[in-house]
Amino acid sequence: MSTRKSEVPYGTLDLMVLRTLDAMGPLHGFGIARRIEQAAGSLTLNQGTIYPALLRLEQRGWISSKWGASEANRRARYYSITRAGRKQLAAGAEQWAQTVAMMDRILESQS
Amino acid sequence: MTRLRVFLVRLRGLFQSDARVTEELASHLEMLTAEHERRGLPPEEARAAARRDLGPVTPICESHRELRRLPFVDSFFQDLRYALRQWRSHPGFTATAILTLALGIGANTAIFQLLDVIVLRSLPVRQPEQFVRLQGYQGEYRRGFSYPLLREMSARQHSVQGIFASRKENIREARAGARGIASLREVWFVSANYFRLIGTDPQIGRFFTEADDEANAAPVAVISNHLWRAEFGAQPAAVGSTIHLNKTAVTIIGVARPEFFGDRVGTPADIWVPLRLAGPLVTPSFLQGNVRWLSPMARLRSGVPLVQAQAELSLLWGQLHEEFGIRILNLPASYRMELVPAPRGTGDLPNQYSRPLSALMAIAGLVTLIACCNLANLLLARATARAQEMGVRLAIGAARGRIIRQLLTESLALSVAGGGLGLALAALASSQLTALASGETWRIPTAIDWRIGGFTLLVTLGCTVLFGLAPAFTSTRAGLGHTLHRDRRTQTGDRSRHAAARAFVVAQVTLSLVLVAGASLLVRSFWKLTHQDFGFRPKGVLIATMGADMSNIEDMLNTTKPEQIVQRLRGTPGVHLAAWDIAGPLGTITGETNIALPGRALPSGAANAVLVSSGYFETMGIPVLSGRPIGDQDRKDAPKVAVLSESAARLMFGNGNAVGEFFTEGKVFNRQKAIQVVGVVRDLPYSSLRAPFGPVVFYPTAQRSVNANPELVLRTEGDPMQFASVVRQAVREAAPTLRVDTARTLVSMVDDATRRERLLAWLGGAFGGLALVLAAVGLYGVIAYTAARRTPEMGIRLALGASPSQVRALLLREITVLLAIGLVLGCGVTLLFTRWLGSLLFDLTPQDPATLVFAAALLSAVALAAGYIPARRAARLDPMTALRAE
Repeated sequence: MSTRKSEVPYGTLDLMVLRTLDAMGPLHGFGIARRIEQAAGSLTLNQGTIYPALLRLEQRGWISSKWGASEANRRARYYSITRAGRKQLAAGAEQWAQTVAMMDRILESQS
Repeated sequence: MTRLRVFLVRLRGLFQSDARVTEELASHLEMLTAEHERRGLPPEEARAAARRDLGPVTPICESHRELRRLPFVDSFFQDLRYALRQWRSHPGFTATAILTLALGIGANTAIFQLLDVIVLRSLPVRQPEQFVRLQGYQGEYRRGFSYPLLREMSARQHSVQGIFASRKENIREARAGARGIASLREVWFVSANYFRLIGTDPQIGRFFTEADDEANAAPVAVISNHLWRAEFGAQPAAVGSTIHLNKTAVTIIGVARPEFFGDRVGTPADIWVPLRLAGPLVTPSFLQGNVRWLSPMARLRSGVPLVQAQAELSLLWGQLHEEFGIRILNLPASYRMELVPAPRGTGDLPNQYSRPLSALMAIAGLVTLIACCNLANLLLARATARAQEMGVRLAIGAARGRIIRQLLTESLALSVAGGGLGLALAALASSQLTALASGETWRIPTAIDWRIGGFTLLVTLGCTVLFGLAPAFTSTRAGLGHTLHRDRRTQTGDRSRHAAARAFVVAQVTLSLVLVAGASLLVRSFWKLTHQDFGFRPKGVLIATMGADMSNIEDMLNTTKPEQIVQRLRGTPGVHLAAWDIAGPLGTITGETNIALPGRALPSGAANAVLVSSGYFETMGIPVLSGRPIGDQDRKDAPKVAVLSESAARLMFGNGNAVGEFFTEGKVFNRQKAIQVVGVVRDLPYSSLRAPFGPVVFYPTAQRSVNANPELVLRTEGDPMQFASVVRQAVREAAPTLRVDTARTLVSMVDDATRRERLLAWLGGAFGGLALVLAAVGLYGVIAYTAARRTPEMGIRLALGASPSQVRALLLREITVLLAIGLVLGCGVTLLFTRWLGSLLFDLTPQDPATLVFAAALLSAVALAAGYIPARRAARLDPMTALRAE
């Protein structure tokens, strides 16, 4: 794993969280952060930044949370995706694909 | 939709703390540490590595908090705390500002409360907007309702929810077991459906039903909450107890709610009885079909609009007249019923006071505006002191909008404090105000309720905008580099702030002039009204109205009895003169009469007839212009004579001498029955003090029959009220079947008649004085600030040889120019707006030049005096001190 922390592209953290929760089911904050790092491969983020993102998603009703017990029997807050969240995930993924396709077209045309 | 959801969640977030996120972060850290330990790091290093992975905690918490809460609310509270700190460090300024606002806002609230209670508020019952007054006509002739007609119409109609009526009469009331003289009360006679239709519930007991208005029903009464508290100690046992009305025992069956006062604003009711009791209590003729003493109201039915109900009731009105043969034969057989909306009940008070109170509202509004101008200038001066603070803030990148928001919050805090204090002041003053507004028998509820509070809030917010906006904007202009300059000797000051300050000074002077001029007009008008030559001399006169029980009415209408009483009184020490009459000035005059002269007849009702005894004109102090007054020689068997008022003489005989001329009553001149004119007296005001009544013919009481309650008139030494008991004694001895119903001094009757004008004069004058004080304080502040700011400049001038008077003149010059501009503008605005006061003034035009000049002179004197003090102080400074001042 690279020791250089690469930036999270703006606005994509939300999508990553939604996708993670969608795929993995209910997770706590540490779990989500770890999973994102693993899935993205070359990413190491300041794990704490996940919490404002989680708050934002929860305020919009795309995820919900409740207290639970972690693997080590510690008190932790578990987040899960909601139905509205799944819709948002689909919409967000679609939009991302469109952005990528558009960028590809532009960059290819100039080479 | 999402935005609303987010907003609501963030609103809830205001009440949450950091606890949750801190716990989550701690938990996260533990898990990271555990993971590192699993990989083989020792505990210390594992923890350190975990911290690095997690990232810096404080920025996380901060951004979490910002997202979680509403930053707008947070910054508002931050600004509020800052404002309160400022208050602590500048107590003098804060106190002045809050007091100024309190006076302005309090004035507005107090007047609005009066306006609300007297003019605006509907009756405190269910759905008062459904009420209408019924006015019946045959042809063009107005006709009231008789008792049988009311019952018949009420039973047959379907167009409205119901018809109800009320009418008040004065009745003697005595309590079982009460000692002393029975008191005279206003008793309201109401239909059985009155309380039900008017829409109120009993506090305790019950209200009338149809059974209570039947013949042979037991006499019952309902009393007001006020009476219940005052005279029955709010005991439940009041229901079921007995009171005696004109010797009839009546049982109290219920008590009304506290806010219910009947259907007439300004005339609160204490006792209600069924209409049928008018027979035994007043006269049996009230129950007959030919006495039309009722003017009913009705409650509209939802679904039947007023026009439709009016048409249907008109039809029924006509049908009943034809069916029962009660039409007036020589009038056309066209019938109509008019329905007039009456959400404020019966009575004329709302109309009477609508204009005066609106005028006072305008005046109070002006006071508030002046207070805001004052405050704006104060804030502008303060802004200069804070110029450095603002300059630094803007220089390091604060958003202009954020600073403006902060300054407005400071203004809002001042406004709210001032508004709260003003509301409290208004509440305190409200009972004094209503005492000022009311006469002897008025009770106005003075509760401060949400309407008043809401109004105060509105005014407060308006003030904030008015005085806070300008200073906030001018304080934060870009390009304030020069304010960072510490050296005040080279500082020229901010141009825009100066312009704003100058504008506010001019505005303040203009508004103050309008206010002082208006107030002067009202005060002068009141003075003229009360000091006019009434045609009679009120001081020292007692008026006692006589009455009798129903069984003794004959005695009252016998002219010898009052004559005997007057004779007895004439001998009493302390009584200079005594006489009696039917209907005196400021009373009700009802005797329209037809006059016929040789060759022509005056139009019907051209003059009114009044009966007066011998000695009347002397007792009242009415000057006789020619001939002689009614005297002892005008006995029953003597030749028939009369005295005319000026305008009657002019009407009947032109400009020639009326004394010695003859006229007759009736339509045709009859020499056999001719009456000779023996004297002419001044015109007198009867119904209103504003203008003389018109043509009046005075007949001697000895030569006519009396048809109304006699009035005894006494001119006494000292306070006439002392002689009230003497009068009662004389009546008891000379005519024991009669009694004295009311005894009042003529002066108190005059005061009562000038109630409205008194209110206007007092309040207008008070507000005018307030405006002068505010203007003085404001101008003092402006000059003091200017002087302080220009102290170093003055120091240089003094050092270079200027004399103190030159320095003074320099400081005063600017203010004098502004004063002049303000006065000129003020004159223009005054002339524009005072015309609206026109109908409220007596013997004064709204454009009266003397008053305007006086107001301008007064304002100038106050303003210059206020400005002179700080200017003189500045000119007296030691130049060295001035130069060293920073």
